[in-house]
Amino acid sequence: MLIDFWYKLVNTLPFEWAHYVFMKNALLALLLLTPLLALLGTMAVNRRMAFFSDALGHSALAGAGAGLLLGASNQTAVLIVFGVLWALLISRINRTGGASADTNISVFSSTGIALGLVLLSQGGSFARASSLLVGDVLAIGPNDLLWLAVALVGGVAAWALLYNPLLLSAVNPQLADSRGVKTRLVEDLFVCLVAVAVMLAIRWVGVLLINALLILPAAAARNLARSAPQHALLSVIISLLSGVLGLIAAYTLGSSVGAAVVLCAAVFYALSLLVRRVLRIAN
Amino acid sequence: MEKGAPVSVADLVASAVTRRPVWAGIDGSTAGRVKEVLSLFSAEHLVKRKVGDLSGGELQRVLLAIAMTPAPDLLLLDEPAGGVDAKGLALFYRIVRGLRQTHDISVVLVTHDLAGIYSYVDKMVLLNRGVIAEGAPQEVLADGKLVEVFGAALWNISCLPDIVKDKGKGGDNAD
Repeated sequence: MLIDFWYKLVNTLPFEWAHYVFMKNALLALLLLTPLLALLGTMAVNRRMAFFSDALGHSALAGAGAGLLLGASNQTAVLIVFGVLWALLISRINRTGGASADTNISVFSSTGIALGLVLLSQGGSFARASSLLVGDVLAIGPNDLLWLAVALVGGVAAWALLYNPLLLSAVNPQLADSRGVKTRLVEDLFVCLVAVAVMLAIRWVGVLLINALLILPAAAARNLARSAPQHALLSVIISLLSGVLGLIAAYTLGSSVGAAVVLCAAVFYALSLLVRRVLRIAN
Repeated sequence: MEKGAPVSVADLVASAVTRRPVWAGIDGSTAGRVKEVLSLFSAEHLVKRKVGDLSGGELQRVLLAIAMTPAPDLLLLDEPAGGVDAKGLALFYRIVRGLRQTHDISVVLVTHDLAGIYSYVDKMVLLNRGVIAEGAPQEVLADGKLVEVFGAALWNISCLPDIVKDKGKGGDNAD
């Protein structure tokens, strides 16, 4: 099995943590999750969608609640379907609604959280809700890892097809339209892709931190990049490094993996601001 | 799109001319094509600049370059003068006029910049909830009705020396 190959590979690393199966699983999970989020994040940052993706993450609580209500066996599938519908709905309302985008998003976000908490806290316990809020990448198993691998390949393929029309639509929608780009469809597909990636990652990273993984590496890379390929590459590198370093830090300090990864990404962001400052002065 | 977004002019033009995703890098032949396209619009020196750093006029020329690749039958320019300085605008109008000589193309341009556009167009249509006047620019701007409908600003333009000189002379039927 492929996974055994991975276990053997990680075993060769001269670290104490590399010998635990749960650490090997977590490492692979982060290596699979972070690059896709980093890539999608570049466009989310360019299109000022950080608030939107934050709301999407929060709505996972409502998705989980819905899953519980329906008695679904596959929680992730429910989360994904729910996430896609939610994202499309917000997108539609932003296009046609009267209020400004951030007000609409705020309404959806708060409603999603509240609905989710009500459904998940049935029976008087917050345990279900809190595990989704923080996520638990140390609990991931080979089956879920396979899904993450499929998602990464599928996601990158979709990103390759979607990016050019999406970029042109972002800069000048009328010009894109006149060239035959179906701007609405392309924007909707982007939003769905983000929803799928977020919902796949959310059980491992948690509702509270998922947006950081989408936004922070891309935001840090934005400070350093001068072109789209640079932005994508730097974003992926920063997110991978944050994932690995965060995992090791969490192991060493005995703290939450998701939180440690996000803090690493935050440090990279701070560094990127510094580097940009220094480069400006040097010029 | 965000002002500071790391998207270069090369990225933007490439996104319109190639299927290969721009985030994966621009290959040699696409890069050549991009430079070629931009050079027709006096914009090849902008290729590495970020789109958000361009001036109004520079962005107009880049967008025009994209709109003309491939050349359409009809080019629609909606308020191209917005946010563009006078020099950039003159260059833009000259480029657009030049396009009509090199391509089989019709250009419809919507603008408030009557004085600036006057010498570049064949036919003018003045609209205010309906067609107020149409015809050759000299005819249209010399028409007394205009000042009534559009007021003093138009009167200033209609008093420009070359328009006053042509007043009373019949317009051309240029197309």
